[in-house]
Amino acid sequence: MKKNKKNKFKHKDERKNSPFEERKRFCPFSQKNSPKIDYKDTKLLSRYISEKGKITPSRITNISSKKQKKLAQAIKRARFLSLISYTHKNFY
Amino acid sequence: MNKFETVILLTPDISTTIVDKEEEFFLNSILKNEGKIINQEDWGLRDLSYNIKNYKKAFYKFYQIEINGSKIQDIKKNLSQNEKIMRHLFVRVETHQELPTKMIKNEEK
Repeated sequence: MKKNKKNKFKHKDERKNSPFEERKRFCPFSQKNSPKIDYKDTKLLSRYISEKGKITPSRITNISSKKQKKLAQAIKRARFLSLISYTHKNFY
Repeated sequence: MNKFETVILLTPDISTTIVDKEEEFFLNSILKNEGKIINQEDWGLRDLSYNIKNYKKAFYKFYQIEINGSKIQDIKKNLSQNEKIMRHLFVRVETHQELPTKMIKNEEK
C-alpha cells in the first residue's frame, strides 16, 4: 500500500496533461445549489430523457444511485399526469 | 396527519360552472374525512402529451392538503367513480413547497 501512495505522488504532474486523466465527475443533484427533483418541473426532467422518451441511464448522466431512483419516480409520475409523453421527447 | 400533494385532471368538454362543482365535490370529500386544505393552484386548460379517452386537453388542479393517510383510500374510490375526473395523483411530501410551483414559472418564461 505504501508503494502505491508514493507512485501517485510522483505522477501527479504527468496526470494533468495526459488525455486519460481521471476527471472528478459530480452528481448534478447532490451539490449545494443543485435543483430539487420534482415531477412538476418538466423542463428539468426533459434533460434526462432520450429522444424516444426513455430515462437515460445513470452511467451517462453521472447521477448517484440514490437520486436516480428519485428521478425515475418523478419521471413516471409526470408521465402518468400526461405532462411528459411515454413515447417521445417534449420540446420546449 | 401527513402532508400530501394532489393533482386532478378534469375533462375539457365541461363548462366552468361544472368545473367548480367537481372541485367542490373533491374538497368536500377531504373535509368530510377530517382533512385540511392548505393551498390550491389552478394550472388551467393544458395540452396533454398523449390522448386520454380521446381528449387532447384537460383542466389541471393542484392542491396541498393535510390528512390522515389511511383515509385517502376512500377518497380515491370516490374519485375513480367520477367520470369527469380523468386522472388523480396523491403524493406524500415532507414539507409543502412555496407557491407558485415550477409548472407556472416555466410557462411564464
